[in-house]
Amino acid sequence: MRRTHTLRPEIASPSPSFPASYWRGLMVVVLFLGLAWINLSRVQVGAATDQTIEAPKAGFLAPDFTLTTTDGETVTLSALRGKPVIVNFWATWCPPCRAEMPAFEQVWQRFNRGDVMILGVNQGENATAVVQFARDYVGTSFPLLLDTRTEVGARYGIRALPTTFFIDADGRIQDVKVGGPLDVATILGGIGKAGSGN
Amino acid sequence: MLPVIQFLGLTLPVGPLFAILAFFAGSELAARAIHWFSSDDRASEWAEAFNTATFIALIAGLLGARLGYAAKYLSLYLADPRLLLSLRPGTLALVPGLIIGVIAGVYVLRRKGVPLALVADITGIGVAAGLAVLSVGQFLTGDAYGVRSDVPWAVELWGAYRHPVQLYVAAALLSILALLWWWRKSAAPGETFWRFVMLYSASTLFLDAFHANEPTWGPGIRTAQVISLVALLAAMFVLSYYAKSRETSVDSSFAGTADSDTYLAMGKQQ
Repeated sequence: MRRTHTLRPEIASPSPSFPASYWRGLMVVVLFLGLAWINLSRVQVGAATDQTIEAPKAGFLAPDFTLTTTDGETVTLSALRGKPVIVNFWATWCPPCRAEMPAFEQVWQRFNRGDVMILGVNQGENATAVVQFARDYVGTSFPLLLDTRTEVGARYGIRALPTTFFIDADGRIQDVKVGGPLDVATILGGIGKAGSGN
Repeated sequence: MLPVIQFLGLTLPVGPLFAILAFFAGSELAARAIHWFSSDDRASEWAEAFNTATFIALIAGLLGARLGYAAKYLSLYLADPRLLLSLRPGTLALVPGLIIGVIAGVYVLRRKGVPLALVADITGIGVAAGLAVLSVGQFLTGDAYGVRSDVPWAVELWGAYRHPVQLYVAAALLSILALLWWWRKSAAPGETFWRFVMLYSASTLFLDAFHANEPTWGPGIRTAQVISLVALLAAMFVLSYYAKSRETSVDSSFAGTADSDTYLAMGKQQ
C-alpha cells in the first residue's frame, strides 16, 4: 500500500545550502586555495620526518645501545646497520615471552641465522637464569642480551613484556608490537615492513 | 603517552582498544542516526537491520583480512593452519578486509530492504564518530603525531614539542558531526554523505599540514592532501546537483527533505 507522503514540519525547513550557481564558482576558489595550501605545506627534506631524533616509535631512529650477550660478547645496535634487526624485550617470568621464543627461533633459522638479526633483550635478570631458560628449556640460538638494570628497556619506554621492535637496514624503527605471543606470520609481517621478505 | 593500560591484572594495548571502541561507537551512532532521517515505524526495523549488517560486515571483514594476510604467506599457513585462528591483529590485511566487509554489509542491507542512500548518510555520521574516537586513541599512544612547534599548547612527544594534531583532527570530526546533525533537516537522500565527504576532505586538506612523517611524493607534496582536494571537489560537484535539483524540482521527493518515503522513492529509482 502506498503510504501518504507527509513532511514533518521540522523537515520542511529551508535548506542552508548555497544556490546551484554559487557552487561552481566556489569550486574554482577551493581548487586554487587548495593547491596554494598544498604547496605552502610541502614537506621540507628532513624537517617533518625527524630523521635525526632517536625515539622508540615507528618512523624514528632506534635508540642506540650496547649490551653484553650471555656468551660475554658485546653487541652495539648501530653497528648492525645494513640488515633488518628485530629487538625483542622479554623475561623468563613472562608467559607470552616464553611462548613466542620458538617462533623467533624459527624465523632466525629461516633467515640463515643472521640475514635478519634477532636480539632478545632480557629485562632485569642475571645470566645464569637466562642461559638456563633459553638454552636448556627453549633451545634458542639467536643472541640473548642482558639488560640487568633495565636501562635500555627504560630508553625504549617498555611498559609491557614482551615488546618487539622491527628496525630497517638504516636503523629506523618500522613497526612495534606490544604484547604477545607473536607467531611466525606476525614476525614475518614485521620483517616485511622493515624491508626484507622471504 | 599511554601505549598500554593495566586492567584487572591484564595489560591492554590502547591502540587496538580504541580501534574496537571506535567501531562500536561509530556503528551505534549510525544506527541511532536513522531516526534523524526517518520518523516512521520502519526506522526501528532499519536500525536493527543496520546493526545486523555491521556485525556481519565485521566478521566477514576480519575473515577476509586474515585470509588476505595468509595468502601472502601461503606456505606458512598451509604448514600450520592453526595460525588462521590467531588473535594477533598484526596478521590482518586491511584492504581485503575492508572490501569483503563492505560487500557483506551492503549485501545484507539490500536483502533487508534498507535504502542505500540512507545507508550512505548514516555511514558518513558513523565514520565521523568512529574516526574522532580513533584520533583520541592516537593522541594517547603517540601515533599520527604532529610536526614540531612552539605554540603554547604544543605537547612534548618523541623528543620534541609538537602540534597535538590528533586532537585537532578529533575536534574537526566532532564539529563535522555537529554540522551534519544541524543540517539533517534540510538533507535530501544521500546528501548527508556527500556533505561528510566535503567537510572531512576539507579538514584533512588543512590539518594534514600539521602531521609529521606523512607519505609524500615529488617535491615533498603530501599524498593525503592531494587525495583530499580531489575528494573535496568531487563532493562539491555532487552537492551542486543537489542544489540544482532543489531549485528546479517541484517534486517533494527532491525538495531538500529526507523522510522514509523519500528514501524509498530513491531506492526505486536506483
